[in-house]
Amino acid sequence: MISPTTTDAALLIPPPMALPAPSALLTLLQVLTFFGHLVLVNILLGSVMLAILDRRAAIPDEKNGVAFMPKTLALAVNFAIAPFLFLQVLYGNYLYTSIILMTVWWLALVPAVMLAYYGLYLSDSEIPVSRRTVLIPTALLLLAAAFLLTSASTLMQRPDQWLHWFSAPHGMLLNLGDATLFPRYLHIVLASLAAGGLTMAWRADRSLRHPETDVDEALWRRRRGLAWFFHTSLAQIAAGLLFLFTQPASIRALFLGGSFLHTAALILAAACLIPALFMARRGCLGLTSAAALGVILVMVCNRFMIRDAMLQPYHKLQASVSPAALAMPHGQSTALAMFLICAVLSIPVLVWLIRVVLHALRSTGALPQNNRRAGAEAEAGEN
Amino acid sequence: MEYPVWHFAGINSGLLIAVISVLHMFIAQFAVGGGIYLVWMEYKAYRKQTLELLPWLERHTRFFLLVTMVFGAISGVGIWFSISVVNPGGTSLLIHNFVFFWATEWLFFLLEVVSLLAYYYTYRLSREGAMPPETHKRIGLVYAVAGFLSLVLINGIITFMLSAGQGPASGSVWRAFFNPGFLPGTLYRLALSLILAGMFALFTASRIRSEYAKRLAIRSGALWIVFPFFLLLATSFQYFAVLPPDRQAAILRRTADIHPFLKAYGWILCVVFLGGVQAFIRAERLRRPLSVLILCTGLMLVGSFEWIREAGRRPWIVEGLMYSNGISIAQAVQAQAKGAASQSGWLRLLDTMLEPDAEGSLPAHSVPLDDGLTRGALLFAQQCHACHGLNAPRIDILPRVARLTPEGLAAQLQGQGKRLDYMPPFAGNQADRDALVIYLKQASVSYRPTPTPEAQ
Repeated sequence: MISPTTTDAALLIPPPMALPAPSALLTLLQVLTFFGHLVLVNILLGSVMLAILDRRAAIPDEKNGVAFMPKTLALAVNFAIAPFLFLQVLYGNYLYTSIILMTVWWLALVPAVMLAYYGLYLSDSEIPVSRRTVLIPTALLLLAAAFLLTSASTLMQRPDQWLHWFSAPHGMLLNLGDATLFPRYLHIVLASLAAGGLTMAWRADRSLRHPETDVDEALWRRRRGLAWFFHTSLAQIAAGLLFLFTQPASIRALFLGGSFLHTAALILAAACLIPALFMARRGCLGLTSAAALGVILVMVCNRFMIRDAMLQPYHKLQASVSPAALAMPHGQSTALAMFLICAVLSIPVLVWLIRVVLHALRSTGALPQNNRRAGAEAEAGEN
Repeated sequence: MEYPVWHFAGINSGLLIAVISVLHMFIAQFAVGGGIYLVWMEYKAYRKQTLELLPWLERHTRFFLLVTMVFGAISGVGIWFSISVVNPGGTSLLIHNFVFFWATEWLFFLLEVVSLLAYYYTYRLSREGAMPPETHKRIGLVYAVAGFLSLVLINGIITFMLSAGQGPASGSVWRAFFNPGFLPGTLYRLALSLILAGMFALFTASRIRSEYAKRLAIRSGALWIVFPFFLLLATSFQYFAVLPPDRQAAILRRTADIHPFLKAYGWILCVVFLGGVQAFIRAERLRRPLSVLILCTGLMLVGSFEWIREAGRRPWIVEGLMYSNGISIAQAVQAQAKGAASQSGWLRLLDTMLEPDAEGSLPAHSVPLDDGLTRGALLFAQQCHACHGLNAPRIDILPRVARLTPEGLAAQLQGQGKRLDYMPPFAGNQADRDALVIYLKQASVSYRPTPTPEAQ
């Protein structure tokens, strides 16, 4: 049933623009690129938090312990661009409106991320203060940025909340009236801690290949990383249920048997998480990570399904509104071909870049050769 | 006008975009030219066996990375964020039509990020022999090519906004991309990028301890200002020559919002050239303050050019498609016939919330909501605020309103777009004009002209 508020709010939704390509293709591109962004953000945010919460295990070596963080942020920012682009094409009329309502916060994201970026570089350089002194404000900036982005992405699917603009048009709105906001944010933070734990374990695992590594300590860090993953993922089950049960009843019902697709997606997420927990307990880092990536990918799809379901009543009310035509519809398919060809061609270039860097690092001993020491395997076997 | 607006914080949104975009363009073009410069200098150092330059080039690469990848990349996102909230209609137009061009540019940006990180973090290894110098130079080449291709893609979209060419008429996105301004625009920005690379090289080279290396580095930096200068000069004229006649007239008009910037651009061009020559002559004695001064002229060059480009585009975002306030031609026509509310759900809903005044007249004399949101305020924000400040910097509307009677202001709004052809037509009917006039006249009551009022 459509409430009067929904009818009013529907009035506020700008008409969409015609799509330059099939929506399925654009959605696929958005899902894949957003997945890449989310993985990088989870690794970065989790690693920064663990560098503060569990410094000895996360950054044991004073010299290069945080060197990977600014590089990860560089890639995370890059991978934010593509999904943001495709999101604007698919849902621009909802997105622009929601970010206008929170303009001040939205624009504050830019200096926040920039300062965090410099904070990461600073913590990786010779500084007279402790690394933690720099990392704490950096983590807070990143956490704030994640919160603002969560607020924007939930506000865009709640046109009924847009009505607040008439009493607060100063660009200071946040989607605080939405019961799903904090569970969703908690979900992100816990996922980041879990990914940070896996990153910790992987770094310890890789360090085992280095002849000078203290094997016992590296194995301890590996176990510790997997323990972080295990415990935060257990907590994630509670957070996930909270996220599910704060959804509006109509949305919740879809995931609890009301729709085959939605229910299957929820089951699939659980089906990936449970083996991930089991493997983490067994010490199988590779399989745990693969299952964790599966959970993230399914949860990305779930978000899209939630958004579509939330906006469905508005789509119905807007059925009579025809999209504004593209000014230049011709040549879009060749432009798409240009993008796909460039994407394919860039892969060997990226592979070559990574290969020559790794080769050079190995030749100096900065990176160990590929003669994996038996410790990790033995550790995995024992468990 | 189908979107809500943000303008009530006393900040001129157009000025906000101008500041962010000038700073970003300054650094982003350095990112392009600097990449070419770094590779060129590395090739030269090995070819001429001037290996003393390599330690400085490595330090310069770190500086380059910290400036371009952090400030440059994030401020680029910052422009996107700010235009999305200030002009969502225009952003949507450019995103939807050019989505695959933007997406391709993202791929080049990805290559830039990975190759620059690889280039910097293997610099020492290549100097110490752990990586063949040829491989290191190739990594740099990947960055330089990716950076240049990024510029080509973004430039095609930016020049489309100023000289749309046959794109909209033919409906072809490729004809829009390869618009008349594409080639001169690309060459212009390439020249500017190389000049900025030279300027930033002077900045870091001024601290080199070895006299010999310092002289080599500074002379090369100076030549990177002097030689591309001629390309910049030639393409400045060429870029102007390919613009539609009305855009040329807009750039040459003698109004306060553009003429001083055009004059400044001419003067700064001369100063930039002289700065390059001076740096070349004083190579051994160049100190940090002079290099900073030269960098400032680069910033002013970028700033004045971008300002002229933006101001010269008025009243359009894209000529023949959309006005600078994000209202399309079709919307403006509809709004004039049926009222602004017919094109804006936000205005329609506001009308239902406002109480009629004692005379029972809603549209013109609406009583403000609790925090001052009135019909006139929303119309101002939707239609005027993209260019005009309200008691705020950048083309403040209050001195312009203060000297007009309400009838004169209403007449101006009616004739806007025809008599004042650098402004979009007012998208509304008589009732909308009345509401805006009342709002602006009330706002101008508190306005006190300063001893030196603005010329326009």
